Amino acid sequence: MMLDANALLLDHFDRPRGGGAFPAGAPGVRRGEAGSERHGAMVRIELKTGADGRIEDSRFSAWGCAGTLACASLVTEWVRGRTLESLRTAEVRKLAEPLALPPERLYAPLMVEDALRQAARED
Amino acid sequence: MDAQRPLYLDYMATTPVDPRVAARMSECLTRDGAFGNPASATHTYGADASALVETARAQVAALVNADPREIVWTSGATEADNLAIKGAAWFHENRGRHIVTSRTEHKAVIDTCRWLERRGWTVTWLEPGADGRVEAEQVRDALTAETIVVAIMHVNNEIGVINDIAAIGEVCRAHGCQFHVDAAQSAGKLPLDLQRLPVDTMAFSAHKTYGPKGAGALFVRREPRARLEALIHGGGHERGLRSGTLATHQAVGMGEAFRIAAAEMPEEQRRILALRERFATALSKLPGVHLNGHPTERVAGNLNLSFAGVHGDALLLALRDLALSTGSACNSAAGAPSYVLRALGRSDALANASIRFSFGRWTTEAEVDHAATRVAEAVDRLRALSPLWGDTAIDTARKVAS
Repeated sequence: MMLDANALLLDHFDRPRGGGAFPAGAPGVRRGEAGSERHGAMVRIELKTGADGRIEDSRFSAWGCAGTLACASLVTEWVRGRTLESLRTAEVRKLAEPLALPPERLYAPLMVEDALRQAARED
Repeated sequence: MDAQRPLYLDYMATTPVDPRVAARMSECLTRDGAFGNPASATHTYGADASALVETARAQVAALVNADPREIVWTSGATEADNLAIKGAAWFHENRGRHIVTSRTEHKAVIDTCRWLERRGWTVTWLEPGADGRVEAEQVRDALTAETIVVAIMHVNNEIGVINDIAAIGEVCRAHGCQFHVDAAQSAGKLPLDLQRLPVDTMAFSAHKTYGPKGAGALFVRREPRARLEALIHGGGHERGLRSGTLATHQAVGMGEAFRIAAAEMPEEQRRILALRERFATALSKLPGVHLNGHPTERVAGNLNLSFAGVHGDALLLALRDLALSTGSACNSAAGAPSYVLRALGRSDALANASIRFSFGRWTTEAEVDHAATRVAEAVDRLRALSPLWGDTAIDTARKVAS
């Protein structure tokens, strides 16, 4: 367990932003997924684009360590107003630096990054 | 409840020292107390300390109905396990080099057997059944003409299940090999009668029973005599089996802790069992909760539960106002699932979500009620975020712990 979790991580873990999923069949929703039960962690990211093609809203669901949940929560805030194209090269590793994850938890931002890029992939 | 510190529900990891024990220990440390070297035969300082150590030895022996001469002081159960297994392996190495143990033993036994394995001994690693117990028939089937020691724990430290050491011991006795039992989690919690149990060596720990850390003992049967080589040399203390100046305060602490356990065990275990049942009943309203290990053949203070669709690491952080332990050691990238639970055939996801709740001498009903409420809240919250919760595989596996 991350007893040394910092305030930002605890904030996102205790009060996750964008937790859950959009209603099934909601228009303009794209989904990306990474990790698996076998790997010990998994995450789904949903992106909802507005009329201007930019991200209007985002949701996540995650099963994994607190770092995984915090990274995914962070991403759902960060993506708002961005274009899909820009998210295809998003570096969640850098975005997650303020969470100060220990080295053994750095798989978390990479996994969230994979899910995000997959959600933003070209159709 | 202490508002400043997490609510302690990890009594199987360690216990606070009982104030009665601490009082006795402090009498052995300073100038006005029994600070002498118990081995000093030339003055009363030594004799006073020696008398206290021998009283403590008798107290430890009394809890398990052994002869005090069969109790060897050690630094803890880990050293006692090492002495029993390596000691037997070395003593009997010309007779045979085969050991039988189980995959769900404490690391003190597993790592000791692995160490011997690397040095040429053969180890049979038994797989427990789905209820977490190792059966006597499994042991019987594993024995060979080369088997010199069998090591099977009494109570498992993660899931609390009780092995039938009387039946396993009979098998070993009939075969003529030594039987070692790690009883760190059962002494003071279950009745132990070594006059009747066919056990050759048994490891004890003080700190699991409201005594100090750094104190333990090994029971070494006199008749029929268990044979061991010593691991530690230098002075021939403890009948040559464990040299080193005895830590009077540690021995006295363990003795007092075991005396209290002997006097209070039946009532205390009844009370703790009622607390566990209260906790389990409160959580039975929650779906997808799996009980790990045998439903009834388990020590009163343990409840090991898996929460489907929830990650153990996240659950522990969500419950950081409770002091608990998870089955997952969290020592690999994504947290290694419990080796004990995997050995029971639990899926990695369930193993990852396992939490050990352990209750003890100072656990109250109010604490148990509070903990159950907090667990239900945290599990509900994390499930609402979990992509696994609601998946078909988890749905079909849902059942309420009984």
